[in-house]
Amino acid sequence: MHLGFINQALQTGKPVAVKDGDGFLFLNTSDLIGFKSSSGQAICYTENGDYESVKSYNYLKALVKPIQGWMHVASGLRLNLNRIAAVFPVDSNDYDLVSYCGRSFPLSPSYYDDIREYYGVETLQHVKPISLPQYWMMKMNIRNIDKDIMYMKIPELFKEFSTDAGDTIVVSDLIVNFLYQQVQYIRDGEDSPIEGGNVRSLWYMIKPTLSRLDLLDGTNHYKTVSSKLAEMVEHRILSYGEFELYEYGLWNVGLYNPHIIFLAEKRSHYQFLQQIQDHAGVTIISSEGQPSMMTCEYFCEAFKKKVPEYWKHDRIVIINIMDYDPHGYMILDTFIDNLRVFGIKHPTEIKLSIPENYTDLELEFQHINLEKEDDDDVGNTILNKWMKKTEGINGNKWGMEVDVMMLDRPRVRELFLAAAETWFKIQPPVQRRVWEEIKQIWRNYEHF
Amino acid sequence: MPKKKDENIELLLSLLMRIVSPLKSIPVQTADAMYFIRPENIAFITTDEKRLAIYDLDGNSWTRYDTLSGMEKKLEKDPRFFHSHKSYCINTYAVKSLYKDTKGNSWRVTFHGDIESEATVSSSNIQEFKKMMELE
Repeated sequence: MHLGFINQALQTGKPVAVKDGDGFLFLNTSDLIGFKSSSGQAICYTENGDYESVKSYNYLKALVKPIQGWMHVASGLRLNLNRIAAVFPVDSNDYDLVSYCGRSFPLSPSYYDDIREYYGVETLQHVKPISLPQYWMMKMNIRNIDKDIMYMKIPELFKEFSTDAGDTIVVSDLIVNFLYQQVQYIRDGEDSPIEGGNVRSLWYMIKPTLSRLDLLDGTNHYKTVSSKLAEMVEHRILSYGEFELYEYGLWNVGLYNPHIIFLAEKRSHYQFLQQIQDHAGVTIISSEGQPSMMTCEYFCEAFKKKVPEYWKHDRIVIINIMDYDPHGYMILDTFIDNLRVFGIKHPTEIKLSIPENYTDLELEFQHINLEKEDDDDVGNTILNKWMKKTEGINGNKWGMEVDVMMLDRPRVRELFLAAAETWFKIQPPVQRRVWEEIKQIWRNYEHF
Repeated sequence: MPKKKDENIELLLSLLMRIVSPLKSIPVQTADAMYFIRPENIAFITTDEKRLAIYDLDGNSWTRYDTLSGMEKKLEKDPRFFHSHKSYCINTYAVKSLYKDTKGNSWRVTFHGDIESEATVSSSNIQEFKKMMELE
């Protein structure tokens, strides 16, 4: 049995006398958090203050030697690890040991291994196993901050969020910690302060603080809020759902064949998707260009409820109508990556907008010469990579807008049904036609 | 006489065991630090999605990314811990009361200290638990 733990639990130990003004105090080794060498004597750290020992540093060193938990942590500094509550990584090599009463002591790198072995851990950086969200929280320097950031005074904000030099606020550090603090309040049982709002509502909460810091000139920090929030969601540190943000994405999970996802890049194709859903009961979604992380989160949460085996291989198929060009491929990749973030990891993917599904005439006359297209997002490298993957159209750097195919919707419908044929669990036409019912309700309402 | 002495030492050790766990502290992670929880200060451990929530006797809840079975293996040399339910491992030395759950077949336990949360003992484990708590 560990004598140090017993000493601590019983609050007893070997006697230690310290000087206290004109008199003495009689303590025991369990009262001490540690002691450091000072001109041959020892300064003893206790919860109630620091005292000079009557006996020498070397005497105290010998006194605590047999008691487990007393360790050398820096030159001339011994700590009673039985009174240490936590290890705080300062940077990749430096750590602070913090006592139960909140006193902090630096750990010298020379003693790192001894302390690590004492605690029986692989590293003092983080607990193993560590979750990925935890890893990203550490990477993004997200921490528990007691005081509400929105009500911190300017010196407090500088103390918490400034650079090492102390003269500049690191806005991204302030924003990620603000977002984390807000979600912690919600997790502790408070109502979301922006229920039914959007990301802009979060921005309006922190804007006055940035205004007080004179940080509203220049950079658009609304974008910082939005991008940092997306990053935190991507790393599963928090979710949009926790804030109860309003989400207006165009998607609907199918009633009969929800595992078949019909994805369109463009909003204008959503009505066509609705018709397909009415016929086949599949799930539909329009990414509206680059799909937003928030839409993906809400979509995935609803989807996972309807498709219980969503994590398995070959259970989900994404049949898509995207532009046949690097942009369309990038959007699809982002969508699939986002699904992966929210747990849908192994979808099969079938593209309908590929050269084989266009007529020769369309390919000849309706193609887009991608080399001549003025697109800042798609440079030569991306285009060449796409060419390597697809061979363009007959080896030319040409693409096809999916709208060319959509001019002949019965063809797209046929292509879709052929691609989905082996995936249907319930054969179309399905019984309920939700969108038609909604339309009928509206017609009746207008008539009324 | 020597037999009496051995018995006394055994008694002393068992009493000490009730005060202090023979195990090392359990590291848990917070946003910015690694904290060390003394096993004797744990009230119970339960699963919370893909992680463990460790409730201590001061009323704090700590997170550890581990499985309950993995954690129980680490604690197996400490007799105070008992697998009371598929999602609960409790510190029997800290149990204050036991009540039948009015809604089902399981039992609820409360703890000494500042902790308000309760743990569960399943009907399949209740006999063993009652034996441990000198109820049978």
